[in-house]
Amino acid sequence: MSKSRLKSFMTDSLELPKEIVTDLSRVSIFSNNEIYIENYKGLIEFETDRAKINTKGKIISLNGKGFEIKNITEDEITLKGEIYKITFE
Amino acid sequence: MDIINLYNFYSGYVKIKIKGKHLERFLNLITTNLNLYIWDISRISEEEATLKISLKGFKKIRKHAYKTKTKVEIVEKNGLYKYLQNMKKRKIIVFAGVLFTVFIVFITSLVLDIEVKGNILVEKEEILEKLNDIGLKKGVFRSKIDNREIEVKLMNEIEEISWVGISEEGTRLVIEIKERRIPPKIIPMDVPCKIIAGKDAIIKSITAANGNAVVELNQTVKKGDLLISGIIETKNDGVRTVHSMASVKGRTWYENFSESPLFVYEKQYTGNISKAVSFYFNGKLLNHKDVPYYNYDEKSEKYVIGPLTVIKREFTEYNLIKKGISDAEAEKNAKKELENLLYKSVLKGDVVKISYERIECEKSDYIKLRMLAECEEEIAQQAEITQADLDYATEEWRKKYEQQKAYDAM
Repeated sequence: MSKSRLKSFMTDSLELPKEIVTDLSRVSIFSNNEIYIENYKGLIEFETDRAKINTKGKIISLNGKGFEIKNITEDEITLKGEIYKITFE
Repeated sequence: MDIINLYNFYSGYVKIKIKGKHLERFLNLITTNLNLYIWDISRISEEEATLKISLKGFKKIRKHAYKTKTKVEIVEKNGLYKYLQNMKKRKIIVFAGVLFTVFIVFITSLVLDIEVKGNILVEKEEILEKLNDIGLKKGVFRSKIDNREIEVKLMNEIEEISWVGISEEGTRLVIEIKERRIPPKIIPMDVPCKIIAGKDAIIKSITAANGNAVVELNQTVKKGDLLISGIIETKNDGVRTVHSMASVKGRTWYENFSESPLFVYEKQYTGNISKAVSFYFNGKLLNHKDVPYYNYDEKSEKYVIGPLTVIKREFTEYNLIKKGISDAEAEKNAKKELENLLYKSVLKGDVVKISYERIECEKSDYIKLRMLAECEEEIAQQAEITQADLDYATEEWRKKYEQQKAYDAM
């Protein structure tokens, strides 16, 4: 059994929170006004109408209006503004 | 989030403007490498953005800014330290604020008002006076008040009070009182006594409940005369004493004289008012001002603030003006005075008849009135039976007894 499969088996059978056991990110969206990403890797692009956030394996790309970073720390980021489109690349 | 903002406010934060081509990289660097918390980032233009960062964090980002060729510029300083800096410039305001706070704390730690609740028979003034003696008055520290001790002391001082409850309502002290019904005075039945006349009178009725009446109806008695004897003769065993109880009503007369002037003095206010404020510290007068008038009315207000007492006085000057009054009015005044005098002396009884008589007065401007009043009142007065009374009664009885014996032997 590979490492990633073991991890997924562990979380499924023991019902552990996935974002803790794996290093995948958790994305929460509040309507289309706020997006909160846990376990992100880095900010790739940040403009008022678009933003790209790097997470493990995926890049979350956002399109919208009036973007602003509410707060940012080492592994958390909250983005504010009107979101039109979310794409995982 | 609010707690974090509050923390940042205390520790101080800056709003900075960053300018560079790789702003995202700069942000990634400082968040991951320095583990900083950054908030409110907004883009201004292609190469510019503003953000807020704690003061501590701001000092650390210099190296990374240099590495990513980002220019950093402070837009605004914020936080508690800024307010403190401003306060340093306004020392007097800060001092006044501190003084005001101290004053408020001081004032609220005092008793500013005392309220007495539930008293019906006992006067409020009496209770306050007693409390003053105990040590509870306006202006003492609330923390020094021992409720239990005061309750007990007040109950001991005033007999009519059966329960005292002290509660604080802010700076006001509420003293709740429950009064007791005083039991009636019990006449000690086992103490023998006689009844004598309290006034000169003619006896109109005698109702003896206990004892031996020695006077008759319509008999004239003088003050101190024996009315009811507490000594009862028995047939064979000498005399015994009892506790006399009786109601004796007698007709009494009163004579009184009164002089009444044919004029009155009236106050005429001149309109001059003088005000004075005196300060007492621990009962010591600090300043003194003489009253500039000869005749004056005085109004005063007292304020107690801790050991300091302030008395505000207001003096209103007036002149006395002699004004004549009619003869009838003077007579009315005299009659009133005489009546008051009469009702003061006749407490237990009725006034049957009053007659007035004008007599010559030596003083001019005065009239003189003589009053004769006839009353019917209680004249019985309890008195102790003396040894002399007892000896005399015993002697009398012995004589009678021997006489009887001699008579029987015959």
